[in-house]
Amino acid sequence: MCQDDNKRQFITRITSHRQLTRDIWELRCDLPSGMLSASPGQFVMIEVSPSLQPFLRRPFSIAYRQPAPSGKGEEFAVIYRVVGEGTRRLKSLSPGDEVNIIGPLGRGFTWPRRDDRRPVLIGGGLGVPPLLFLAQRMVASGVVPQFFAGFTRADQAVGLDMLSELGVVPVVATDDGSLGRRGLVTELLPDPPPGDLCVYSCGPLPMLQAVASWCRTGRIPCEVSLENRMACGVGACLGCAWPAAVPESHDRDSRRYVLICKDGPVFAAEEVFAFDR
Amino acid sequence: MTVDVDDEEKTWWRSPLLRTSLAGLTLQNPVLAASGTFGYGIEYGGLVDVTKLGGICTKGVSIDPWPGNRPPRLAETPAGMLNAIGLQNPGAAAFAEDYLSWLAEQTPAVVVNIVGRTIEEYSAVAAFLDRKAGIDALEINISCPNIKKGGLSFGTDPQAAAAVVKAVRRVTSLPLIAKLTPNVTDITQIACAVEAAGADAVSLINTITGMIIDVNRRRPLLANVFGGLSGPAIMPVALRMVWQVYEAVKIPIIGMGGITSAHDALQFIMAGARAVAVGSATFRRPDTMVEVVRGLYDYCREQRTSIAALVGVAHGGAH
Ligand SMILES: Cc1cc2nc3c(=O)[nH]c(=O)nc-3n(C[C@H](O)[C@H](O)[C@H](O)COP(=O)(O)OP(=O)(O)OC[C@H]3O[C@@H](n4cnc5c(N)ncnc54)[C@H](O)[C@@H]3O)c2cc1C
Ligand SMILES: Cc1cc2nc3c(=O)[nH]c(=O)nc-3n(C[C@H](O)[C@H](O)[C@H](O)COP(=O)(O)O)c2cc1C
Ligand code: FES
Repeated sequence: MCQDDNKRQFITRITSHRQLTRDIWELRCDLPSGMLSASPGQFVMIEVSPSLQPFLRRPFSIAYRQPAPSGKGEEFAVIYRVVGEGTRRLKSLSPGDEVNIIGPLGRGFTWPRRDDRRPVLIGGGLGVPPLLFLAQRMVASGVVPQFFAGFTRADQAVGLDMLSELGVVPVVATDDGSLGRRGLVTELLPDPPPGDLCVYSCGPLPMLQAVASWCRTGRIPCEVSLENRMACGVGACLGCAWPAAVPESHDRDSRRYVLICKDGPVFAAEEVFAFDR
Repeated sequence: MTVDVDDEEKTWWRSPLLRTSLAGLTLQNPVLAASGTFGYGIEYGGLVDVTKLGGICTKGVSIDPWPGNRPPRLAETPAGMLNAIGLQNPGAAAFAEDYLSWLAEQTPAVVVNIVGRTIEEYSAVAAFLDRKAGIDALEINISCPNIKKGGLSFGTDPQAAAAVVKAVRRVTSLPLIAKLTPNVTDITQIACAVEAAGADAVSLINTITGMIIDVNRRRPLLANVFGGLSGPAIMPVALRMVWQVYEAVKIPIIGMGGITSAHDALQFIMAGARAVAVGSATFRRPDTMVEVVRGLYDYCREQRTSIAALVGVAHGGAH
């Protein structure tokens, strides 16, 4: 059994914590030196409360990395929406506070690639943050990706300032037309897809499925990042199982599920979405 | 007991004060990883110093691969969680090939948790594992649904529970631990039945059946509808059952259910457990088990006692 032993538990310090929209926050923490291998698509499990309630850690994607303002080392960011008890607790933390995290976890996006396909990043809502980190890496390696971002409304848009800093000009859509085009971001994709693209996507499930079928029509590679409820985040509890699309492709144990935390959260679309053949 | 204090300080996790024995095994300390919460051990590589544990109980292993339940399989509940994993595992052959050699190299005792849907399946997996090196004991998870009895758990019927233990006893000489389910009216009946059937120890408790409804979808949240409750929420129930079983049987007890600290573990030991297992708390804090070992060591040093001397003390009098 091969084992990626990069994951560790760290106590890190919050460097900044700011409100981006009515219910979306950006948390930045010192990047522990043991987490330097953290790559786009990977996530951390954050302990949101020192008490036993809420009991479990919460998974969050790494939204980007940047040099620490102190000039020493790096910091990483998490962009999250307040949706329940755990994220409410997280929101109450202040710069200087310590947080207990486990990371870096999971299998991220494939980058750099062996081929010279042109990358297209397609994010929906809180699916945009992990793609910022990917865009950051692409730009650093001299490739400016195409970026499609969909939000419900203008006041839900995140990451656009980061993209403009990177020199990435996103195509934006909102459900109500309050920013960019009106409608779904997937409706803005060129049809049929040019054959020399490679696609990376994160967002709500229906969007990912639409992106995956679009890629399939053009036979272009597509990676999607999935979410599921998690307890351990390391492949031990088997709680985050997701039906595998092609069971035969797995080991002789013929298992029907993949684990989002360990085999993912990023998958090749054909590993997790069944298509009509 | 005379021990070299300095030397002992350096190797506190295997201090003689912590040593415990059960089912013919000697454990360096009484803290085990609970089945299903520590995978096959290697998953927690880098996060837990397994050399400091007393033992590792693996995820349940069946003779053939089991796919497990449809998702969602998890939900969080007040001070705990519900799970309906459905005993997903790669089967005994893949377990032995992919995980056993790593486990066998580790210091802690290796306890393989076994599952089956029929008595024949339990015997088959036990017989298969009996021939493998590196296993210190088998833990029989009798909470599995008995497909010949309409899915009713073996562990809720004293006769069915005894039959599983007897069948497994026949095919292996490994120490046998029967893992009891709390979803019964009187757990002492089951404990007595498995003791009489030849179990060398009992472990308790498995999870308590519960459920949760998603009010937005107006449906049960778990695909399996019911799940097993674990975590701090269940500790008082677990402790009560360990107490009762201690008064009912002579074989050693591994106590578990909601342990998050040495203070919790001490309560189980004082109620009668010779060893304890930490489950869900590992998800939150992977180092919980090692912290519990350290806390038990500190307690024994401060109180000039040992784990062996603390087992069952809360009952007063002699056992
Ligand atoms: C790999 C991964 C990366 C993620 N990255 C981000 C991110 O960058 N930004 C962001 O805002 N959110 C992200 N999420 C979702 C985030 O984990 C949940 O929004 C959060 O756990 C909600 O916690 P809560 O206590 O506030 O909500 P509650 O609804 O009260 O939580 C109850 C339980 O359900 C779980 N849960 C609820 N929603 C989700 C969900 N969507 N995914 C997984 N578990 C959930 C919680 O962890 C908790 O155990 C990610 C999830 C995963 C699996
Ligand atoms: C996700 C999960 C999976 C489990 N799988 C098994 C299993 O395969 N076999 C078993 O005997 N018990 C299993 N259990 C039960 C635990 O070993 C333990 O008895 C129970 O969780 C109570 O301890 P805790 O409150 O410390 O978690 C599982 C528990 C959890 C939370
Ligand atoms: S969250 Fe435990 S296996 Fe994925």
